[in-house]
Amino acid sequence: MQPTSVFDRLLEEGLISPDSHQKNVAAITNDRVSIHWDIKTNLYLGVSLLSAGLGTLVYKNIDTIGHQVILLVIALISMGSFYYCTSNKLPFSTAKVAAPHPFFDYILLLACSTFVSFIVYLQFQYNVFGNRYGLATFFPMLVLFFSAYYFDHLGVLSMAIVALGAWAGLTITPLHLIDSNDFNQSSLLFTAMALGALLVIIGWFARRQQMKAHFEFTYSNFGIHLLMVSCIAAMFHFDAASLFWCLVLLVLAYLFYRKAIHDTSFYIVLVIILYAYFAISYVVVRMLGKVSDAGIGMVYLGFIYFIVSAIMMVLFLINTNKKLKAI
Amino acid sequence: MIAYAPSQLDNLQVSEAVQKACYKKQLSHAEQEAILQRYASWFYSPNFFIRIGLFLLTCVVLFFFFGLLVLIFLSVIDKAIGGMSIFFGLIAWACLEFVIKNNRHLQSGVDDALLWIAVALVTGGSSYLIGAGPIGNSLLVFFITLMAGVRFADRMLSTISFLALVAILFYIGVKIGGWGTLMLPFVIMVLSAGVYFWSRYQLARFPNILYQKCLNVLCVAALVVFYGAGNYYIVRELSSQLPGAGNSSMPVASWIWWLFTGLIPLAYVMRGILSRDILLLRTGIVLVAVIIFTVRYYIAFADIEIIMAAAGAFMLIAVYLATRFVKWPRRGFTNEVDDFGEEEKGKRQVESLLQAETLSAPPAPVPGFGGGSFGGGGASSEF
Repeated sequence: MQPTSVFDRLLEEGLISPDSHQKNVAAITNDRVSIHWDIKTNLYLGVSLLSAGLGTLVYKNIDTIGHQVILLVIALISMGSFYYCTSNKLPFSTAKVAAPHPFFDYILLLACSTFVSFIVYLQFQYNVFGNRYGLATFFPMLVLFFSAYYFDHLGVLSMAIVALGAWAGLTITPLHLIDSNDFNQSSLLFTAMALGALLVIIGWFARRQQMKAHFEFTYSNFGIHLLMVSCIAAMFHFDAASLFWCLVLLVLAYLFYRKAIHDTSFYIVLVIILYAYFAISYVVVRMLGKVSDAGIGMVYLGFIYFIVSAIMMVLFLINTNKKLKAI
Repeated sequence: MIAYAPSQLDNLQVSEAVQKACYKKQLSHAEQEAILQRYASWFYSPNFFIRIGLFLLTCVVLFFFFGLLVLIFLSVIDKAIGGMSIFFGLIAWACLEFVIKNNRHLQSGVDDALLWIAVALVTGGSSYLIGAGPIGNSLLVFFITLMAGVRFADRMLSTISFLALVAILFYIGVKIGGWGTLMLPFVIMVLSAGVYFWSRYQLARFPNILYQKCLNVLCVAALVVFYGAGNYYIVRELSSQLPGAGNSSMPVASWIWWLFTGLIPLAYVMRGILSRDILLLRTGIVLVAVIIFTVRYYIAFADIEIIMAAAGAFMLIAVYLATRFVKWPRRGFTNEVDDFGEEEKGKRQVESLLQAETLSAPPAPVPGFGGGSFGGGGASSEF
C-alpha cells in the first residue's frame, strides 16, 4: 500500500475528516528526510577522531614540542570550549534543558574530555597531587558532575559516574565492568555493592525530587548492573555462602522488577530477569554437580532443567510484556 | 507465499502510519482511537528488549533440546549428526509455522530464533550429508535462505541469499579460470546493479511493510557489493590469490579499479543528496571512508594519526555545512527528530553510555583500594 493511499482509504471509510486527510497527504508528499542522527553520529565521530588523532600526534612528537606547550594547548582547548558552553547555554533549570545548538553537546564533550586529560597529564608528568592519588581522580569527577548538571548532558554524567567508580577503585565503563575488575578481593566486592546501591538511591532521589529527573536512567542503569554483577561475583567468591548471595540477588531483583514494572521500563525488566535466571541456574547446576555418584543421569537432568526453565522464562517474559503494555 | 496474513500486515501499516501522524499532531485523538480500533492487527510483537530476551531464551531451549538429542545418540553421532540436524531443523521450522499461525507471533524473538536456527541446521545438515563443494554449498544456502526469506520476510536471510548468489557466480568464475576470472568483477557488478534496480522497482510497487524492509536492506547490500566488486583492494588481493595468477595480475588496467574505488562512493553521495535517498547517502558516506583505507593500504601518504585528525576536522566541517544546508526547506532534508518519543529517548540513553565507554579516561584500578596505592591513570585514550 502506498503511504498516501492509507489516508485515502481512511477518508473513504469516513474514519478521518477531509481536513485531516489533506493535512496528512500534504505532509507525506512534502516529507523531508531527517538527518538528525546522521549529524549527531558524524559530530561524535568527528570529535573523537580529531581528538584521538591530535593526541597521538602530540604523543609522538613529545620530544620536540615539550610538555608545557602541550599542557597549554590542552588547557586552551578545554577553556575555550567551556567558555563557548557557558556563554551559549540556556538558563539552568532542574528540568531537562535543550541544547541551544546541534554542536553544543559535542563542544561540551570536548571541553570535559580535554579537561580530564589535562589533569591526568599534570599528575603523570609533574605529580601535582603528589601521593594523594585519590585527589587526582576526585577533582575531575567533581568538575564532571558539576558540568553534567550545569549544562544538562547525559554523556558527561556517564563520564562522571565512571570517574566516581574510578575514585572508588573500580572500572565501571559499560563494556569493561566484568573483565577489568578483580572481584576476587572481598573489599573491592563490597565497594562495588556500596557504589551500586548509592547510584540506585541517587537515581531514585533524582526522580523523587524532580532534580534532573531524566538523569535517573543513567544512575540506575550503572547502579543496577554494578549491584547485580557484584552479587554474582560474591556467589562465586564466597563459595560456601553462594545460596545466601543468590537470595540477596533475588530480593534485589524483585525490588528492581517491581520498580521497572511501575516505570514501564522494558530494558530494566529484561536485564533483571536475565541476571536472576543466571543466578538461579548457577545454583542449580552447582547442586547437580555435587551429586557425584549419579554420573550421566545428572547431565540429562541438567539439560532438562534448562529446557523446562527457559520455556518457563519465555512464558514469564510474554506475560510481563502483556502486563507492561496494559499500563 | 508469505507466512503472515496479508490483510493483517495492511492493518499494521495503517496503524503505524496513524500513530506517526498522531505523534506529529496531524490527526485528532478521537480519529486515532477509531482507526486503531478498526485496524487492530492481531500480531504478537513485543517490545524490542523483550524480543531480545525471548530470542536468547528460545536459543537456550533449542540448544539444550538439540544437546539432549546428541546425548541420546552419542554412540552413533558420526553417522547420525547430518540427519539429526536436518530433522531437528525441520522440527524447529514446524514450531515456527505453529507459533506464527497459532500464537500470531511477528518479530517476537521466538520466531527469529526458531527461523535462524532452523535455516542454519537444515543448511548445515544437508551440506554435511551431500559433502558438496563450494558451488554446491552456495547453491544450497541460496535456495534455502531464499525460500525462508520470502516466506518469513526476514532481512538477514534475504541479504544472505543475495550474498550466496554472488558466491555462486564467484566460484563458477574461478572454476572456469582465464577469462572467467577476468570477467568476474564485471559480472558481480552487473548482478548487484540488477538486484539493486529490481529491489527499487519492487519498492515502487509498495509491497507489504515486511517486504519493504527486506528490500531496503537488499538495496544497501547490493550497493556495497557493487562497490566491493570494483574496489582496487578487493580486486587486486582476490585475483592475486586465485590459482594460476601472478603476484600482480589484475583484470584489465589497474587505473579502472582506482577510478571505481574513488568515484562510486562520491556518486552514491551525490545521487543520495539529489534524490533525497537516505540509504544511498549513508552507504556513500561510509564508503568514502573505505576509499581512504584502500588508498592508504598501497600508498602511505600520511601517518595514521594525521589522517584521523584530518578526517575528524573534515567531518566537523561537513557536518557544519550540512546543518546550514538543511535550513532551506526546499532541499528536502531536515535536522528535526523524526522518531517517536520513546525511541528518541532510548537512542539518547544509548548514546550517553557510548560516550562514557569511549571518552572516559581509563584509570587502571590497582589492587589495594584504601591503602592509597592506585596509580592515577597513565595516558588517557586521547592523550
